[in-house]
Amino acid sequence: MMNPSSYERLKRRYRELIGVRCEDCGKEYFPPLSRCRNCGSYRLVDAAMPRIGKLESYTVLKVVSSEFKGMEPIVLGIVELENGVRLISQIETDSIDSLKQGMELKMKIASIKDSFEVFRFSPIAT
Amino acid sequence: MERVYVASCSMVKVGKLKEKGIGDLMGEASINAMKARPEIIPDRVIVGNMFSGVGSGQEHLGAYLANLLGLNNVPAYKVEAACGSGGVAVHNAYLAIKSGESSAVLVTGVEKMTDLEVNDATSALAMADNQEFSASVGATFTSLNALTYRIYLNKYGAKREELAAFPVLSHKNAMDSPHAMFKKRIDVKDVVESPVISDPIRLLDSSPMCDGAASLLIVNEKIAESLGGDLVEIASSEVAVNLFNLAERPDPLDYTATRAATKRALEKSQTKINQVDLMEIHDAFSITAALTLESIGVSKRGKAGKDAEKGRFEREGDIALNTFGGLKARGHPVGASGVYEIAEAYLQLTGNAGQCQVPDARVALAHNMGGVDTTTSVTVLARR
Repeated sequence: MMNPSSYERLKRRYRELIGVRCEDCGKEYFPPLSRCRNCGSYRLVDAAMPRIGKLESYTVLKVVSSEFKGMEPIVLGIVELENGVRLISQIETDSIDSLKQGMELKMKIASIKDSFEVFRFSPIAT
Repeated sequence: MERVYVASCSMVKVGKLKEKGIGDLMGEASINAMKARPEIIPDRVIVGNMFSGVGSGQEHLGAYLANLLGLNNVPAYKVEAACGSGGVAVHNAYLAIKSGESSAVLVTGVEKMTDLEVNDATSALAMADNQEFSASVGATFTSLNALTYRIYLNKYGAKREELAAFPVLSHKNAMDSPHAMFKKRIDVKDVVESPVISDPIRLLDSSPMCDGAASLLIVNEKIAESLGGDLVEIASSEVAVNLFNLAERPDPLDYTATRAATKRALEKSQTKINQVDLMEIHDAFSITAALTLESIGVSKRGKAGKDAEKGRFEREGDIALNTFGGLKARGHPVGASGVYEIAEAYLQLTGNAGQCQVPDARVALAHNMGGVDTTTSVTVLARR
């Protein structure tokens, strides 16, 4: 669920891909967490994630949640960023058949509904 | 520490039950479990449920159910762990008896899904995942499992036909099951050619949207001895969580919560996996059945579908699986499924499983997940 209030709170994270970095061990996370899983530190600060990644898996949704009704089919993927962080993102492509595990992707900003803008990944043209 | 026993069970026949609201469902299941043991008045009521607030506009189910049952001033509350709510509710009852704080607990799992249209129910199920960073960009619960399914197919070169053996088996077992939603045999071709929900997951890889409720009366040893009759011991009950965000897991195919909870449950009950006669596992999708069996260690990685094809999991096979139809064919009223599983294990271990009976069943394992192995409970039950 996204509404104007939650979007306002999270838009920097959505638009600039802001996660957190551990000040003690340097490990980065997206989405943010409160205590480092790697070293146990509580010293986590906001950090922008890399905007290049590769496709680990994908699926084409024919049945979507009510917020996305009318937008199907949606392509959703697991993207591994250059810093090793992995996240769920919509994948934008003209050709679903050309999607392959390991292919390079870059981040862009896309409007998902009304005025909500979030990160999305698309294949880097080769 | 007290020992813990199941003294009775009751299950509502799963389906699209238009005429029954959430109160009707949990009331019906609870009353039938209580009538089976009229000597017992529960001193605690625990409800397992995932989304009554969204599905029926109703929360506060503990007090609601206690009121329906005419029980005043008892502790009564709802336990929620997404689709794993039922198993965690039973875990809570187990702890209450084991610690000596309660002597007889009523546990009721309930879900009313079908008042919602399909997209709204899809949104409700997606509450199991991270709303801010996953559902908000379009992820549904089925799509997360589909992401694991594609990795599985690529990694092991497995075929969808192999994993289709799980829904085929569940439908076959449900033919004899009095409380199952589906009474229809299906074959592998039906599964792999059914409509796509979230590629590669098809309709017949998936458990249905449905309504249901199941109840258990769980008691301490003193009461169990005074009652006699059909009793099953809860030899152990464990809960574990995996990383909340699927994408962050080092290996999304490794159900670490299933693995951890199973290991602890087997150790605490001093049971070896090859002593387990039957397993009721969380086959919400074909892929979840395969990854559960592989994470427990019953099947080798990438081979669970092949094992199912060979008949290893038939009632008369190596280890009987989902003996009343599992989530796929008995139905998956989400927050109730964990209670159905344990009720089914109770019927098996007391010899009351009718046409579904596994011969000489002595030890059962019930496995229930919320999310994609995000919260998993494992319960080991033994014939007394």
